[in-house]
Amino acid sequence: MYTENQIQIFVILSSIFLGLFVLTTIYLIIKLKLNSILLKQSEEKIKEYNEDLEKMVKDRTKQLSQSEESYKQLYKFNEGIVENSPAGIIRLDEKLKINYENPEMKRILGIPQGEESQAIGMDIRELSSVKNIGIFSIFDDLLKGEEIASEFLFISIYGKKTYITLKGVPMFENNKFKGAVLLINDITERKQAENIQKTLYNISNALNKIDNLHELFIKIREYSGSVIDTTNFYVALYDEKTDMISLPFDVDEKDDFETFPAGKTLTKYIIKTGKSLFVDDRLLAKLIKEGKVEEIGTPSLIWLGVPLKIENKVIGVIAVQSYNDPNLYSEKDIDILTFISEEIALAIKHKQADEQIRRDLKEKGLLLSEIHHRVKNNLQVISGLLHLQQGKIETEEDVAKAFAASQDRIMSMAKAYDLLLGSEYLSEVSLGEYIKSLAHQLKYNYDNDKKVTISYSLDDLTISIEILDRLGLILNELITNSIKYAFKGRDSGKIHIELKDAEEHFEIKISDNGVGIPQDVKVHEPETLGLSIVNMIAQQINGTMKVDRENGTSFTLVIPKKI
Amino acid sequence: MIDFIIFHQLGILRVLNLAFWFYLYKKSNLTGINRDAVKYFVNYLALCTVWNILMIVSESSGRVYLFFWAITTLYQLYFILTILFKLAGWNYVWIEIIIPALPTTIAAILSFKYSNYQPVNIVDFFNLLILLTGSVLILRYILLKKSFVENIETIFIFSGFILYFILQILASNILTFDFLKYWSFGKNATLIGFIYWIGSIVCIRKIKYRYS
Repeated sequence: MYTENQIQIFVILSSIFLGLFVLTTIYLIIKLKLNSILLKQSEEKIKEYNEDLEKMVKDRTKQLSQSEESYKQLYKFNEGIVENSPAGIIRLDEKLKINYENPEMKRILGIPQGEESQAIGMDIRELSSVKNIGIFSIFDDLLKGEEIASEFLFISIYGKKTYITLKGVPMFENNKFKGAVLLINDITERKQAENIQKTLYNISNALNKIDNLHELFIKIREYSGSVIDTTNFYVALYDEKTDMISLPFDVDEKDDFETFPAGKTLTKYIIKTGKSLFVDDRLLAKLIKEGKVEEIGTPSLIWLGVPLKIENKVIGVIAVQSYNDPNLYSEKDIDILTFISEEIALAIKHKQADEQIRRDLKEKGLLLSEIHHRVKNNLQVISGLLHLQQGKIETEEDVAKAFAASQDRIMSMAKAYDLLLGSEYLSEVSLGEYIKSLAHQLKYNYDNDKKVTISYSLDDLTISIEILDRLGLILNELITNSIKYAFKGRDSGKIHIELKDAEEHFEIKISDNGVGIPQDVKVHEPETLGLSIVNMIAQQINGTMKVDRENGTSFTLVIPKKI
Repeated sequence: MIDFIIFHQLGILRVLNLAFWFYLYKKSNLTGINRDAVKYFVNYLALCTVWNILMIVSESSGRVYLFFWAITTLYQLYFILTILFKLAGWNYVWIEIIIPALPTTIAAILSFKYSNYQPVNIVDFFNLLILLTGSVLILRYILLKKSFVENIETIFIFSGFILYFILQILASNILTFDFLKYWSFGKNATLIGFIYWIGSIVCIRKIKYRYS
């Protein structure tokens, strides 16, 4: 039926088919298995991926949460810095409109607390206060992406003047201008301190260069004007003796005083308390109500005064005031005015010392020539006295008496100079003191029994040495006569010396309750040397003499204060 | 030509198999047990090719057959057991592989001495059972424990061996049920096996290309 070869080919083909069938089957099984494995692996990978993704999402969520928390903390921290920054901070948007101001900035602008800034939403270049000072153009540099820096006096819309430094930093996002931050520092105090320093330096310079006190006050007012308003400014000096206040310098819009009684003025109040005073209308009303001060002159809306002190003694006051602006000064200005007052006090002190030195020098110069003149005069007087005495000597006893009398006369003159040395001014001497001293010396010389009592009634009066050394001779003669002769034969006696001060002249009355001078003795035409000297010298000093012989003897001398 | 192909079909397949698998062994980046398996398999194919050539050229093919049957069977035992032990992680000594070789050697000597293939056929049957079991275990280990794609060459080698051994067992004398007259069935089993291995090269390439 089939040949061997056909069977063989059939078997071979069957074998090939079988082999390939098995192979295909195995291949498919393997492929299936591989697919299932891959599927499983894919599932596992997906699962792992899901788990990883889930973990990643959780981690990321946690990180985000932490980041959010960190961001919040950072934001809070930054907000705290900005809110509490000692520098004023303004944020501008891309059109340079203000969208934020920190509290310090509000303070610098003088915005009342609780009030919102009117500048929010406005273009900074359009602000009237920025326009007025002409710096609006610098903000254009910010738009060009440049940093800006400037320093100027800023006057806010609320009228507050502030010296500020400004630094502007532009902000970018993807190289596009997105706005700017302005950092503003209030340097008013620093500027004010610099101005004060400058003012004090100028005042010190003026102090050294200007001798005239009035000119000095003009300069002080001019220099002080850069740190405090001195439109109404005065320097007041107090005279304790008269309780008067004088104004060596006064610039005032309303009043024009040169002196006024200290009374209960604000100036006197400061002199009394020694403390500075910042007076607004409320405090003034209170002080008036308490009876501590009284108003004189035009009332001011605000008044600021500080004492002028020299070696802790208040000698006066400097004051500034305003009649139309109740907010012109603040309590801070007291410090400035105190600095100025110290300089003025120093100037016054220097001036007073200078004047004293000048006066002393002048006085001493005059005194020196006066002394020469007086020495010559006194020697001539002594010579004249001795000449007169010489004519009266007849016996040896007269010689001794003459020497004693001459000695007394020279002593009376010396006593005047003795008192003069102790006096405050070397040209004037207290007459009362002189009389007492002279009377005491003469009583010591002649009242050996101590029976004479001398009483005094003396006004306070100083006279020139020129009159005194002559008057001394008269007093010497009259008191000596009373002590030596008025109480002869008596156990006791009284002498009363009286000095009265009148406007143009003074009166000296020497009276005793002694025996009285004999009626035959002519006082104005005497024969004795003593009375002759009295008459002669009284005429020299344009004086008049009167004698009363009732109840003892009483001599009354009336002498003009100026020869 | 057809007569040549019919006569030398196995020889041609052995040479082609050797050429393809040797090429695969050289060109592929094989590692680990997979590399060992391919190497041993190439050696086995080379041994078979030499056996085939010597069978053609030799005048006393009976002796050559017995000799190479013994050598090839011993090498198969060594090859499969070595791979199995390595895969299973069993420690082994040479003696453990030599022991199964003894019956084969003895059977070859007996067959040669008595000019009777019965001893060889009987031992061959049991050897086939051992080799089949070994191959199944190897495949099991590979499928369970090893990466599928990385050991795809080993899978195709041993799945081919399983097919080959099953067909050989079916063709062996002991189970022929008096089918001795169809003894060439064994020869066809070898043919099927070699066709499978040649086809495997294509499948391996495809799988590697797709799943690597």
